[in-house]
Amino acid sequence: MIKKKICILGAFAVGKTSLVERFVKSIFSDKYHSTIGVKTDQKDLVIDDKEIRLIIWDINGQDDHQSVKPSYLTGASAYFLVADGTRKETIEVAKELNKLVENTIGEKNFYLLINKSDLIDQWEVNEIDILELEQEGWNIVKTSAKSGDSVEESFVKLAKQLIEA
Amino acid sequence: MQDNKANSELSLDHQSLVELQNIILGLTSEELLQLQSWIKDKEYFAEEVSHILPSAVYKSVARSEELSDALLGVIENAIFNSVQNNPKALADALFPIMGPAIRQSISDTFRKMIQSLNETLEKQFSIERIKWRLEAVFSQKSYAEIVLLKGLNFKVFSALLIHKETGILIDEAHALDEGFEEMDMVSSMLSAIQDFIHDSFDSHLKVDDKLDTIRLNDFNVWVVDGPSAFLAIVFDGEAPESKREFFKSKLENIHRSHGNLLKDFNGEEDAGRVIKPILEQCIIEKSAKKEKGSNTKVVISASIIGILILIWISASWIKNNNRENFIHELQKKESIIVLNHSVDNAILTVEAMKDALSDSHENVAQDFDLDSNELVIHYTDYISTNPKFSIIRFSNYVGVPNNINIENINNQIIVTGKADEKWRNKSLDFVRLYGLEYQFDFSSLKHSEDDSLADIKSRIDELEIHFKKGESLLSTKSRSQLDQLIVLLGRYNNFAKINTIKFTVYLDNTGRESDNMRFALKRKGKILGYLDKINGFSIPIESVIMKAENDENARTINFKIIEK
Repeated sequence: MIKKKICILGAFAVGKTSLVERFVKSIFSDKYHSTIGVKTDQKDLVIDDKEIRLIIWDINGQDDHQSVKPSYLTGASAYFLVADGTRKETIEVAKELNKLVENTIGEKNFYLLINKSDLIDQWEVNEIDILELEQEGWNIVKTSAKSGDSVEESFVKLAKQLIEA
Repeated sequence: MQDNKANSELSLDHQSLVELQNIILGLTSEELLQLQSWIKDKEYFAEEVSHILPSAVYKSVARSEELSDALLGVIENAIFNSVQNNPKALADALFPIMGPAIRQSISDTFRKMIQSLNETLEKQFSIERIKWRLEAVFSQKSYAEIVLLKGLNFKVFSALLIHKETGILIDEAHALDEGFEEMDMVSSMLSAIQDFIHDSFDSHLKVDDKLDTIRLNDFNVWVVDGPSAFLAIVFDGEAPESKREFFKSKLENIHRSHGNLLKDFNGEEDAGRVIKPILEQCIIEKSAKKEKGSNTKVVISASIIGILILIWISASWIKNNNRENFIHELQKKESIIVLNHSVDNAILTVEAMKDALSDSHENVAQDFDLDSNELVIHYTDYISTNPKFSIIRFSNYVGVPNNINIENINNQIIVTGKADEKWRNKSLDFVRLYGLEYQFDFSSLKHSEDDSLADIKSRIDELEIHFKKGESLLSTKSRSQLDQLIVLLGRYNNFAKINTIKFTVYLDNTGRESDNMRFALKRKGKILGYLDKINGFSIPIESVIMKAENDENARTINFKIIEK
């Protein structure tokens, strides 16, 4: 088994923790988010007969009042940026966070998960926005923490990249 | 022809050689010559080597430690020579790290000392401490050593080696009967907490400062920091600070033996397998011997001590209460005035004023279980003006006949009945002597019907005024006698008419006669002068001067009544 640290970042209330909760094993309560700003969980996967344990650092949402502590990012092998499809401004937050991550730990594999695909008719983020980001080389997946759509697949894709790296 | 042939063979041989050289070395002779010239040109050669040397060193170090070993002696010598030649250069270089290192070391030492002191103080009064002292004596070890050895109980549950950069658990070791689940998450959270503390208080912390202890009651996590990984020791109880050094040495050992593994750690689970034996050495337990039943003994001992303390406290309280009640009762006693009291070494000492007629304190002391060993009373005598005591004192002094009644009415002592002059005079003497004129009222006291002319006469006869030799002054007693004479004459006059009172003035029986006569006249004059001052004294006086019959009546004057 190989162990890898990955981080999940995004604007406040985009559904990061919900995404993680659908997918991972957790022993710590959400109160850690409001106290120390991070909660760690783990997910064991087997990909192509290879075992991988993802140590997931679910980092508190960034908003006007709270910022991500760069020290939580160090040592991460990959990361997820999470945005809320119904709030376009969360894409901008994801962009800022991506810069922060790159400045802190350098370029790493990452996926942008645009959450709340179950409310797609209410989305402010449109296909052009997504296309622009893809043109910048971003890997984008539409997810729904509520229905579980594409959540596990995203983790598997990232894990696969980590095994192959 | 032969020369040409020979030259041709030589030329062929040379050509063959060049070809052969090209085949073997793959270089032309020009290139070889150029190489030779480069090698001989030290400046040029050094320049060329400098381009590839760093890369060569990196590769060599990555491949094995051969180069490090080879350079070890060289570097040691270089440092030694540097220090010999110019110590300041190395001192300047080390300065930024020496200061913090020394401070850290001092801080650690103080922390250990304080912890040791705290632990010692906590055990200060225990039976255990006495046992340790005895053990120190018998084992000839220092007491401090015994305290450190015996003082603290703890049990290490887990030792976690955590990759510093990623927070990923490299490997772990646990006590056989203990185990924690999901140590990967715990490790990463522990790493997050470290970051959190450092980020939150970075203005007060140095870059290298790390969270080193997490404590919840007896549950502890010690974090021992290393360059690539840190060690989290999870234990229960009180581990001595010196143990931190032990864990530090284990972490250093891990870094020394497996430094490259830690540095290049990429999350491989089996990476830590070689480290596990060292981690297992960290699973230690130190506990004081807990003999079966020892708790019961402790509980019984504590109970007995508790009961004894309770009894002692109760006895002290009762004794103290008794003392206070005794003082209270003593103050209530008539004619005892408590001035001061104190308790020292369980002895009550009282300073008080007491009338001689007052009751003793013994009965009161007995009532409150205070024996003579526990009570010392220093009395100062005084005369109480309490009417009750005045009456007793008066009665003792004058003696009270049956026909005399003494009453205390509103603190005024009223003396009623009939009394003769003698008793009356004695009473007056008493009140004057004790200054109790304000307290006694004799106004209702009547003269005794027993007074007779003979008595009065006889008492007048008994009066005898004495004078000192060569003096004619009236003493206080003489004046009192003359007052008495006036009273007696007045009362006599009630029964029978006095014609004359005769003075007999006795001369001195020694000395010159003329002088004695002169003094006799003066003395008579003094008495007449005194009597003249009394209003209403109009009885004729007859005087006669006589020689003294003996020493007793020398220089005296006495009186006789001559009836009509």
